[in-house]
Amino acid sequence: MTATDRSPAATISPAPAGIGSPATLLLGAAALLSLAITVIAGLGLPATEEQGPYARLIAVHPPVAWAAYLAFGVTAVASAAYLWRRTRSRTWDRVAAASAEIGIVFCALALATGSIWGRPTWGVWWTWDARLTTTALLLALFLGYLALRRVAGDVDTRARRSAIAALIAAADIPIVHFSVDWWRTLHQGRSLAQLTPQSDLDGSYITVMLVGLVAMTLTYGWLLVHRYRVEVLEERLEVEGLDLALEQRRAEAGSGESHLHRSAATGRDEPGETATGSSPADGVGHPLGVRSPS
Amino acid sequence: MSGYVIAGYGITVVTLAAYSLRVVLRGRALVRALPPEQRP
Repeated sequence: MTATDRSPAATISPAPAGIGSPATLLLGAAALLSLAITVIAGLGLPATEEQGPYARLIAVHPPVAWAAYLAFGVTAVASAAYLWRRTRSRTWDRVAAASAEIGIVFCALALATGSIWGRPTWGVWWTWDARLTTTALLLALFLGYLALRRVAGDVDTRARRSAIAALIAAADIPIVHFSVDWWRTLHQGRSLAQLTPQSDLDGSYITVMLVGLVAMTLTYGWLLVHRYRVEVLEERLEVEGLDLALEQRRAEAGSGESHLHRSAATGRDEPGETATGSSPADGVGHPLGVRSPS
Repeated sequence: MSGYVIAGYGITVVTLAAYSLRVVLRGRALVRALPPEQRP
């Protein structure tokens, strides 16, 4: 689809298959199974000398942080694809929106689980550490992105400015990731860097963290499919609402004309009120409370 | 088992389950709101 194709109806693609398609069911089952394995294996990890039982949080905290990176990264790539003329499509805008919302859930979870891990090991729930602060900033930036998407306006304008905002927000992802290297932080080094043969971490910890990473990636994939579907359905409903509003206005205009005609027949020159008592131009009576695009 | 560890796992599982349920229910509600000929 090109940028010049502005018809609302033309921007709506068929909604993806329902939640019961074999592929999504398989993806959901795999996500559920891997999550269950992560929880069982993670809780069964041995306590470490340095952190005691709290090290078991390694099975959830780094994986949810990874899923947040992944989700926001997909939002950035989809936004760039939307902005690039050659690949511009409403599909990319929907993918960006869906992925950003999921990323916010994972990012909030990363902050929450990190805070829970920090309390017994650092002695505080929160500190203005570089890693924590840049992660909180990342969450705030993408909350702003979602807020920007809700600002009224033309669909293409909204998509374009949202895509630019997403790219600006995504610039914080590498800052979050490398913050533990660039600044002196209370936070430990990069957990994902432990996934190397030279790692000094116990093998069982690495295995469980890997399972956690797979589980969160599958969960993200399943959520993206379903959240994208919601995005398509919301657009379809909006267009449906606009069509209904147009029909309603035509009906109102038609009844107004016939009323005027009847009045003329009785010798009166006042057209009277329409059936809803509202002006056809004020948008009252719209099923979704939105106005037609100008 | 430490309460902090249980809380960390619990908040992750409950949040992901609640969000997944919300997304699925929202999708179903939207499908119901559409006229039958528009439904996927």
